[in-house]
Amino acid sequence: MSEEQKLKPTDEGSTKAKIVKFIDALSDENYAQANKYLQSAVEDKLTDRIRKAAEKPLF
Amino acid sequence: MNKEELPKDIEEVLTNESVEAIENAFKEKLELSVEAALTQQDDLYAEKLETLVASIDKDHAQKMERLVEAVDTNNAKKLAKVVSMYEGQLNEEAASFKEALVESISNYIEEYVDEAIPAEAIMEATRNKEALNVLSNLRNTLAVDSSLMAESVKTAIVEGKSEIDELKAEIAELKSNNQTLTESYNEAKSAAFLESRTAKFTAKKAAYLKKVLSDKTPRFIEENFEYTARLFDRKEKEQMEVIREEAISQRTVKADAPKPVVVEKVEPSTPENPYLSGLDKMK
Repeated sequence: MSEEQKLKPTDEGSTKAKIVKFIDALSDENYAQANKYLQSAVEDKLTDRIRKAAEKPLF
Repeated sequence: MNKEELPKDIEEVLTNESVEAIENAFKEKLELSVEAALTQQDDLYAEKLETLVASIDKDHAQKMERLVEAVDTNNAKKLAKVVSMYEGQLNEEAASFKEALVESISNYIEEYVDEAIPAEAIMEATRNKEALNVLSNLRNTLAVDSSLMAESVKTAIVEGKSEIDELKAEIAELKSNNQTLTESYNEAKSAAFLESRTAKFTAKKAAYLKKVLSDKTPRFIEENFEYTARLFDRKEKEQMEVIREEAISQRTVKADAPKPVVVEKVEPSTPENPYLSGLDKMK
């Protein structure tokens, strides 16, 4: 199975939930957790872009 | 008081001093009585006033209590309403603020990702990765390894491919020629077969058979020739039947009428052959 086929479509709601958790962690001054959630949200967005690019045919 | 105001009996007895003394005594007594009465009245009024004040106080206190209670209740209700309204507004605003904040952070991340990693770069990387995967799969399918990727081998493969392509083109041309030849052969064979089989038939039947079977394959003609010929015969027979019936229905002479015998003696105009006349006499 190719790398692109492994990419699952990211849920927009899930990304927003991660941003909410990031804000919660930030307001609790839990910077480690905040960093984790922000990283995950950015990864979601990047994955989404790569998935969209991979959907276009090569030839 | 004047002395003249007193009765005459008393006027003679009392002197002016006595009258004054009596008058003073009366005045003192009166003053004392008035003072006592006033004091008593004052006490009474004071007592009544105290009672009145106490009752007024009590009434006012009760009224005040009721008033305070009513105001408290009213204020408490209003306060509760204000609190609930502010809480609702606060929650709504908080929710909308939260959504707006999340949305703006999401947009910011998107913008950041766009700026940090342009869409073209993602597209290029994805296409490269996909092309690598396709190439790897092709390598696996065609069993091309590093030894086959050497320059000499590559040249040989390219030459082999071009030779294969040329041969393929040649085969295609030969196939085309072969097809043309086969078609011509089949046409000639069909024509010869039809010609040989229809030689003994009438011109009309032969033309019909040629018309129906000329564009067919020899095998088809061989298989269907007899059927087609029989079909033609049947049609001819039916046609003849129709014509005969029409002729019978339109004739003027009855079939059972006596036929007149006409004997005609033809005199030969040509010079008589003695051999033939001898034969006539022998009859």
